Amino acid sequence: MSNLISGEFLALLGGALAALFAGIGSAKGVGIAGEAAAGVVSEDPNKFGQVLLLQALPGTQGIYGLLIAFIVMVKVGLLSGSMAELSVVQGASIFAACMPIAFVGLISGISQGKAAAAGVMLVGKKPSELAKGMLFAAMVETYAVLALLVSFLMLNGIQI
Amino acid sequence: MAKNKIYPFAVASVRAMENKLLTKQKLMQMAEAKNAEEALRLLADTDYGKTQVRDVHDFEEMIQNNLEESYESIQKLIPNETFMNIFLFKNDYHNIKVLIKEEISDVSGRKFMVKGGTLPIEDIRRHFRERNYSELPYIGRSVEEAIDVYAKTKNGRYVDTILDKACFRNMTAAAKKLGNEFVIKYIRRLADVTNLKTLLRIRETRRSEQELLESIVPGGDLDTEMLLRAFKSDSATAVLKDTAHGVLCESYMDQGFTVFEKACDDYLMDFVKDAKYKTLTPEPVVAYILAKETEAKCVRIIMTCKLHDIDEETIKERVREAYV
Repeated sequence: MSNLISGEFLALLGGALAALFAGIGSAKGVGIAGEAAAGVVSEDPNKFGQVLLLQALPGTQGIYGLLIAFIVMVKVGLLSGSMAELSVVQGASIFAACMPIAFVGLISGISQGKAAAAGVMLVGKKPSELAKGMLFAAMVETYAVLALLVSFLMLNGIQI
Repeated sequence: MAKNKIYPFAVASVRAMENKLLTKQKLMQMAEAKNAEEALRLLADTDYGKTQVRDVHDFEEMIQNNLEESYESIQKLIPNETFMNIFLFKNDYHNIKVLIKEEISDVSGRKFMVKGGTLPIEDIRRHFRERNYSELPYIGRSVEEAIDVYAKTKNGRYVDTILDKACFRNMTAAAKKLGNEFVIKYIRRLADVTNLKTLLRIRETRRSEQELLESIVPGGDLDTEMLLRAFKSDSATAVLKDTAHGVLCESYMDQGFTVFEKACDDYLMDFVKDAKYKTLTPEPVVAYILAKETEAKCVRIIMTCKLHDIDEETIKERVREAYV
């Protein structure tokens, strides 16, 4: 058990959680928006293009999670085949740096999915208001981007 | 239906379907039409036009088909029997009332039966004729009771009161089973409004307290005692003004039954209008069903008035608040 809590493990755990939680958030969000989109299209197939745009919006959190996980893997040298020796402190720091995007990604993905679903319904009722519907959903994106920024800057700052 | 279950598909579909609801302007246009034929032409331009009728007197068929279609599409959106039954029970009970009265009076009630119950019209008719109550789920027992009581009393009023009560009992039970707060509140409000209308009707026609007691339906917030007190008091409004529905009673109860009945419909519509701002929970679906039923009522009022040459202003006064 004691050698499980090594720097390498903690770093990878952080990267994995970033991809995992942000991915779950996006999957849920895109799912909710997709159901709503299908509902509108079932009544009016011509709105497919418009609602597809809205459905895609909550997908970004997953990409951010992936990005952070990637940076972690590059940093610890997992991709180049020779993993760096990490102290527990270094590993724990990388783990900590991954948390913002993991949690904010999870919650904001779901929230953005709901906002996007509402936007889809707005388009279902008033097709000319697509831009406004997108704007409302995009507001949620701000916080995912902020979390990404924090995770990214922290990872950048950790010296190996 | 779990408490937190969300229905993005159903709500989004309903949102798109709302666009096809008749607007207030459209209804007003119909009210302003020169005659019934012109009003019917206006109606045929809308979603109702799917059913083609030759004679203006057959407008009811358009309404029925449109309403049935709406019930069916909602049923497909939320494939939960309990949910749909809450709104369909009343049609079953209406049909069974028609059947019982048909048997008593020997006049064919076929054209008074409505589509969109939990059971198809022909099935209800057949099982009722054969006294096969077990084939009439939910409603069978109350039908048996109504017929028994009629046989003893020979008074048709009991048929209505027994079935109305059973209807509300079933609706309340189904709403409870469903567990959705909005639906439960809506049914309570519906029961209250129904009782208030009964109260006013019995008062206006100067009938007895006994009759009121027998007619009160269960499931509302206003209890029998309160209603009875309002009935006995000189001013029902004074008794009822501090209840949950005080505003409704205070503003409209003294203005006669027709005005109050319209106010009640608007009051219910007002309650469900909040659903406009919900996006994932089933409230908008409930609101849509009520909107569709109210719309049918409005069209019926307008067409009937037009056929009887009632003037524009009166029709406009009677047309209910629209959802969109």
